Amino acid sequence: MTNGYWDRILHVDLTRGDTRVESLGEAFWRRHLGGRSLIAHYLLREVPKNTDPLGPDNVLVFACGMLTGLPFPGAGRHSVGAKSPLTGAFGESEAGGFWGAELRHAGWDAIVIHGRAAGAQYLSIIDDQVELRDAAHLWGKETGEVEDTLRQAQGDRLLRVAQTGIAGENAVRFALIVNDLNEVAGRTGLGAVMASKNLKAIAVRGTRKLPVADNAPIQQTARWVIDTMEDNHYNFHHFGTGAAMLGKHLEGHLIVRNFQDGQWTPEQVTAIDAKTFAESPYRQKMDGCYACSVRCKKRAKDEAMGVEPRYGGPEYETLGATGTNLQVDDLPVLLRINQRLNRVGIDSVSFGATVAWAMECYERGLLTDADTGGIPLRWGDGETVLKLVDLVARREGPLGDLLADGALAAARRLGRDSEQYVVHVKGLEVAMHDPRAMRPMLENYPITPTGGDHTGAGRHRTSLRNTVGLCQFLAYDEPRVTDLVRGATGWDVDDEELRAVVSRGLSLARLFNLREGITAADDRLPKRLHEPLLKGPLSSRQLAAEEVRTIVTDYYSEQGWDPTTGAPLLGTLEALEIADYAEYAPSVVPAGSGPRRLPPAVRTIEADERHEE
Amino acid sequence: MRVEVHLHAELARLAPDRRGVLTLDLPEGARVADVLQRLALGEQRRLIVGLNGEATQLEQVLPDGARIDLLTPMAGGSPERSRQ
Repeated sequence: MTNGYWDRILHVDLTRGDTRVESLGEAFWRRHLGGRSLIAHYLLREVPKNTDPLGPDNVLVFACGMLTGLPFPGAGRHSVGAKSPLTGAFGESEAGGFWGAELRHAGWDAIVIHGRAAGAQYLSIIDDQVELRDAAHLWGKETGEVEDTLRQAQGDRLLRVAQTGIAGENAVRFALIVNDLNEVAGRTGLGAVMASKNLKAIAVRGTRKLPVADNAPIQQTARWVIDTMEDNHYNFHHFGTGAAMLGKHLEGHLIVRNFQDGQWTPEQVTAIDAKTFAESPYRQKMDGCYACSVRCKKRAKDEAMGVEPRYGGPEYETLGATGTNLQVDDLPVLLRINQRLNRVGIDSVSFGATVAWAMECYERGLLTDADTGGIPLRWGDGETVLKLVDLVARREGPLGDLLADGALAAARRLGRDSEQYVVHVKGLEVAMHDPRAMRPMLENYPITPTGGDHTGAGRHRTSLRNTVGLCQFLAYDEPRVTDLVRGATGWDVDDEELRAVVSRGLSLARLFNLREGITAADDRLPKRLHEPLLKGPLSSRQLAAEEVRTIVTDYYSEQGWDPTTGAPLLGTLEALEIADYAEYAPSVVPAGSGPRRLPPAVRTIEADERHEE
Repeated sequence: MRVEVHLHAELARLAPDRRGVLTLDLPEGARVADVLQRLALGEQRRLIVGLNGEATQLEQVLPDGARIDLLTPMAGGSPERSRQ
């Protein structure tokens, strides 16, 4: 009997229509802990170089962490990964809700999907009972209908469903995977990968209790969160994300008009923020993920407009991407946009950012009515943004099809020098936090393996949480996280060992990216973010390219990578006990490079990193 | 002199109605710091303060009828956070 994990990975080969169980052994689990590191393990080993992300040779990994599904707040997280169809790079995204916990309660640590089914399928997992079933009747259906149908067929309202939507079916390159209808693995287009395999959904029900070595840290943590709620999690508990967006406006780094302005108006910002939502008739209640007392998830309702609580409510990223960035100040319209995105399975960040690029191009005359099929694209036109959700999801019309490939591909297709207005890193549209003002984002976006993702995590705190399956919002310090991992597993892990796990995942993801042709030249910020903001107190500042370069090269050194190319050195890989992965990235690791030594990132304590919504 | 103070997010609980809007009578020449003192926020680690929609400083003298917005950096993001 193990503690903290089952040592059971479910492999599903859709081409052959069969499944198998893999056990990796204690040494592996202690070295990787799950999540990011497990995804990197499979992407390097199983995905051939230059694989088409939407072809059968890509793999799709659903990876829990060592803490996923344990009964304390923040443990309802799982990771999903594949080679990204949006960026061609390492693709990874995390989701909350109940699905990941349910998978662990069913006796599984991860699922690896291989191949492509001949026709639409869904995967049913009821504890040990695993079955591929026909999903022709679910193809083309919206997410709510799919979940209803599967629950009805199983006769179980607690069946947990992760699924790709209509957008994924149409190969929208920023399609997401939604679970529980309102929690999403949003970034890097993983829903398109799932649909490319003709896998519509994974329905899970689990009835097992995960064994742990010592329950005390888990119980103490759950109690601590409740007892200190008003001190540590007040904003999340009462408002969810996005309660203080006015702060960004006042300080001059609100995301407005495709990262141009930095400010809007106080009245418009507060018309859509989470506090206004909380006091509005549109809030049904706040809700939580598995075992979480913080309950930071909004549930919106607007019966007249058909907005249903089960599709959740807008998080800060959605309020930013489709609200401030597009200057849409109509809260009810934003609630409808949020719901449509979840019903068809589109990432709100990439969607909003891609529309923002299109609106700027339209304003500049680079994108014309002939290109848009006669649809005018104007800042603040929420009803048009709402219509665009469906046009993109179905690739309808010239505009829907253009935007469905993401901002960078759209700009390259359009030409007309429009690429300079794409705000992306490695092809992933930048999230709604401006690195010109926020140092943690400046230090994160250029080097995160997934690109412009605020949770994609190139740094220790966020990376560790994406590895062990822990929410970024919980105010746990590092010793508490260490105690939780110790409690779950019974291993005498310490801070340095957890830092080594993080570096392992980052080095493996780096190997993958370098093998796929994503190099040091891609570790940078786009032109727009080196331009001054047009409004507000930061408008006199300009971010120098040299500053980013210094951050990047310092990071390479911290990780034990080549200071020029960012290639992991052999000595680093040896010290991290992952040198055998170098063979999956031929010619990437300089032969005989560097002494066998743990990188500085493992040996030293970084300055406190705080997470943003 | 009268000013209107809008307390956002977690600070809203400091207002009598917990909804976060209150009116203060202050002497002529009062500064932003006086508002914080009146609300017992002087010890707050860091606040974002807006005066009529723009960021301001503690020593700024307040005009009559001013709107003051107060937030903590939590849940909204701040360039200062990284330096803490």
